[in-house]
Amino acid sequence: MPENIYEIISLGARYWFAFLGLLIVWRSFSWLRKDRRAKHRRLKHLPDAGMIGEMVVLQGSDDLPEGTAIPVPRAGVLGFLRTCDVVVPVDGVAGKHIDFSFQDGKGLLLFPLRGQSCVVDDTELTHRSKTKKHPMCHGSRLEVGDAVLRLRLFAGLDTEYRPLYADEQAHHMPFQDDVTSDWQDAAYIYHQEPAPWAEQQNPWLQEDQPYYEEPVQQDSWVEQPVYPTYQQQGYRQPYRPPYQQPYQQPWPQPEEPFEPAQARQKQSRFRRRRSHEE
Amino acid sequence: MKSEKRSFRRDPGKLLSSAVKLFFFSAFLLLGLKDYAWQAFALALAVPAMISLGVNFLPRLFPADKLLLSLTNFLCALGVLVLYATNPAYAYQQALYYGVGLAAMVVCIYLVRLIKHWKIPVLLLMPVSLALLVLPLIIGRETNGARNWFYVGGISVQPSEIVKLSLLLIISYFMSRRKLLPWLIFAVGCLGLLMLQKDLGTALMYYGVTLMLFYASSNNLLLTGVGLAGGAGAAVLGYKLFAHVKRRVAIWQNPWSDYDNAGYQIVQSLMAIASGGLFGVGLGLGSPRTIPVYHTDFIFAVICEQFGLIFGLCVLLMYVAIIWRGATTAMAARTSFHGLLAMGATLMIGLQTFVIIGGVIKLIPLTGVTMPFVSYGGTSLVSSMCLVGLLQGVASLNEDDLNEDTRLAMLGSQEDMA
Repeated sequence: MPENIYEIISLGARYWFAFLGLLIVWRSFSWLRKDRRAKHRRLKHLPDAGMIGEMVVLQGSDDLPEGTAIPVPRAGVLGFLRTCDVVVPVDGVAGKHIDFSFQDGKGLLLFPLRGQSCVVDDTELTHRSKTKKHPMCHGSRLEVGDAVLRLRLFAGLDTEYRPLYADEQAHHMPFQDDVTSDWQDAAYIYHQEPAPWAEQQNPWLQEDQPYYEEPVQQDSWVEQPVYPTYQQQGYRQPYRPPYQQPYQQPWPQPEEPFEPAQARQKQSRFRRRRSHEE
Repeated sequence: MKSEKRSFRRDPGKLLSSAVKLFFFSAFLLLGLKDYAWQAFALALAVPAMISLGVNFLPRLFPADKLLLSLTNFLCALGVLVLYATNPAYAYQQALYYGVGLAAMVVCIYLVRLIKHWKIPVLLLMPVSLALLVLPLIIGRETNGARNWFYVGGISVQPSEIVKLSLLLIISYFMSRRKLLPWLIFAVGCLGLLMLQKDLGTALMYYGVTLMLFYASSNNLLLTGVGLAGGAGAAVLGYKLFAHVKRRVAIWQNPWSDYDNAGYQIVQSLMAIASGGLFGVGLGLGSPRTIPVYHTDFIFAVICEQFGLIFGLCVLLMYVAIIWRGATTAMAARTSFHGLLAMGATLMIGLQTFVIIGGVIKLIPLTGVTMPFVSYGGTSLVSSMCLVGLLQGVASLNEDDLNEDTRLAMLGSQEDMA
């Protein structure tokens, strides 16, 4: 091609190239923005994404009431500072107290920072001790400062099997103390469904009212949207062994419901007392 | 049919990759019109085909990040295009290495996805990489004042580009295991060997990435500050001791004082950028070959001359998008090893880009590193693609984890309903 014609084409094409460059940048940044929004939307339905379990507060403070569940990520820092991954605002807990990370096949490994210590299942750990030999697994108990926490792992995580505290597990059984509660409750616990007579005893439940109303497809020529039910939207449930299953009575609640958190008092590090001996 | 069309309009991946393919098709077509060379027409078909292979086919093998793929493919192909416009012989080799780089990227993605226990690979990598760094000191030849190349069977290899990858793996492995000494010894050893090779630009990059990764892993501002102060002290010491460092800084301060000798490179690059103006002198026009090392270090000046400042800014923004994406990937990673690995790869790409483009536009003193993905050089291109491969591997693992979480959530809700 003659040089002068090529020059004219090339001079014209440079605007085309600049336009394409701007277009590519615009599209990639709008893609970045879109992806960010989509991810936020997705994570809103997955509150437990990236978490391995939760720490349930057995003994806390005014800022951290008992029974609170703190989500635990795969790795991070525990301390009283707000920047920590697991925030424990309790006396005796340092700003950054423990560095932790979850290892598959082992459990949650704790690395107390320099000068700090904690107690895992009656074993005191400092930054000098061989902390990898004492991983936390499902049901493990952690004492940091004045706080007492219990780890609950989500289902499907691979950890070491260690039986923990047969006595405490027994204590967690609902109505364990209530010897008079008879085999009817046991049947409920094992079958996980309301007993046939419970329905009759419930004063709030009418005869003809079903437990859960199915959304009815409206009979019209306009196509109705099908919304997922609340349960289909899905929240990941923490794994609870059968003896820890939340037990909702079909009949009205008693005045003082059973609360395992209140039963946990600060216990001696050296001697564990059974609660029923007190 | 209608819904298909709508999905095409909404799918950002197809939108972006179609724009990228259109760009290279028209650019190579234009270059082909210049002298009716069949190679240009072949490249006009081959490069978009390669891009669609990289962007549309690879994500079928694993959940890859298409944005990252599109942008890296664009930058690599841009390198081929600019090299073809200046010196076609380089462009053919670069296109070859582009294909090799794609393969290496896939290998890296699979390595990150498949290797669960990194202890043995990392322990093996440590002596191997140190040995690789020692090799140019023994059998290497000195080029441009640095002894950082050696030749194997006619192919020149720059080991510091390969060691970059193993440095990231080693550092992030030991940092995630909270072991200080191994990575510190390895990093100091690498820095010492690079100093012996007089490869100051690469040493600066290694140092910066190590320091930033240390901050990312430990959040220890004090020690990071100490490291930074040490680096600054070393820089000042180098300035006092070495004459060539002093000369470089003097040229950076005023390149026009010695414009036809020591400051020739920078002056030519600045003049090329200025002559390009906002829209450039036109593809295939101008005189890009008057810039001294137009094919490696000063390729950004060539891009600015040919396509203009606006397009140069777009290229910079593409790097920003890559860094943004990499940082997001690193933040979303589930284990600290993968997070640090992704962060390190991102930092390596970002720092290298900053160092070379800052040098070319006289923002900072010039140090000889390559512009990732774009510069001519097989080792550099392949190692940059491998960095992106590591990033992609972590991104695909993130995606897998998120899918697993969704599955478990559905499982939990099903258990509830049962």
